[in-house]
Amino acid sequence: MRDDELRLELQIPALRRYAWALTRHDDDADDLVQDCLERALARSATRRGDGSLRAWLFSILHNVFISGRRKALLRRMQALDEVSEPVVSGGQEDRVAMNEMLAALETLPEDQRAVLLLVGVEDFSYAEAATALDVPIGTVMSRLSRGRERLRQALEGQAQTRLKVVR
Amino acid sequence: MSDSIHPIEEDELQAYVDGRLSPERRAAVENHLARHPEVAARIESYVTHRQQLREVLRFKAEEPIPPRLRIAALARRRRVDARRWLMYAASVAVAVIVGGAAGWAGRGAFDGGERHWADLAAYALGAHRVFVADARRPVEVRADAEDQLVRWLSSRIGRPIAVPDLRSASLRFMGGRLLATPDGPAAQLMYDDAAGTRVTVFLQADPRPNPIGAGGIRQVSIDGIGSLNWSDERFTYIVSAALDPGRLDAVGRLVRSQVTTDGGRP
Repeated sequence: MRDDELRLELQIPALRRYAWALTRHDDDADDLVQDCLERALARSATRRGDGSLRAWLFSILHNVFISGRRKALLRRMQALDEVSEPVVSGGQEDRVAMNEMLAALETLPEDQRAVLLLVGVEDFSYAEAATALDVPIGTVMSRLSRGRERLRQALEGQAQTRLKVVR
Repeated sequence: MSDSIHPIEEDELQAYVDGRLSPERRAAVENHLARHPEVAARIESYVTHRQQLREVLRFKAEEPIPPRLRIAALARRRRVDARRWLMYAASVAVAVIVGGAAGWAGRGAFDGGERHWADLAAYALGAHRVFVADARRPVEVRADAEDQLVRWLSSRIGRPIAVPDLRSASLRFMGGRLLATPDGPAAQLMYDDAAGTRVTVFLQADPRPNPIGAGGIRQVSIDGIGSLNWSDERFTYIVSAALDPGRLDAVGRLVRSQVTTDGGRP
């Protein structure tokens, strides 16, 4: 495999993780990644300069996600697709905790969710995240701050509900 | 201590959560948190949730890459597609040479005008593919010599042309070249955006009547490259790019609004 193709291949697991977190659907996520990689391969000769490869790749993925979103939503409304289950190593409690986290994440507006994922999970710098999402760094920081607070409130709300049920 | 000189702001608290602070600033933040327990509780939640989210999603990044996503497979499919495309283009070219009015009329599928559109679209898409893939010399005359380019192309094409300004669609003019089509000279203008996507605008002075009626726009797509085709009384225009239909449509409208004499209303 050529050097640039290898560098793309190394990004695939992270792209799949991000796409899955956005779509919560195994096939939709991999479709997104495939679409992203095909475009990246088509454009690789024309990619300008030495900026972050993954910021560039994730920006393609994000754009494909945005433009495909309405199609996927329509299909899901028609076919009542279930969301895909995460793979859990532990037992029942771990599965509950995982689903709570994913459900809480789902309550965030997409903008905030994207920043939380890129910065908190994919280890993007704030500048890389700004590039990938095509927004100023200030916007990244405010979405990060609001997103984290919203997630915290969603999780604490779930915890409160659990306490009520137990009582 | 430190925070009176440089107060702790929300951005730094977030950077603390992400482990992106210098040792001095981290110490300052920890100091601040020690003295503000309610802030500390909030920040500690963020740190915990960040870790939990990573744990929840870790399984996905640890999965083996599915065969259809492997770069080798995608690259192979692209080569197959390119070959198929060349065969298609070759077959169109052969049809043009071998066909002639009698042959096509016999097929019943196209009249002379339709065939012309199909040929031109295939030609422009072919030229698009060939030149956007060129890393070092995608255009013959660059944008910094735009006046020269416009004079040259206008003279060869036989009508004055103007370079559409597509900056409001985030497209930067790169330059252009003269193309030699079976029907004579045509212009190819090339643009790109910050992501490296390239768009070409093909222009030919075309005396034939527009088969789909004045102002009609036709969309054609071959192997992921879309093109919008239309003509006015002066030129035939073909805007080509590997863009989703929505964005291609927006670019096409922008070009139309600048070149058609009636303001380009659909």
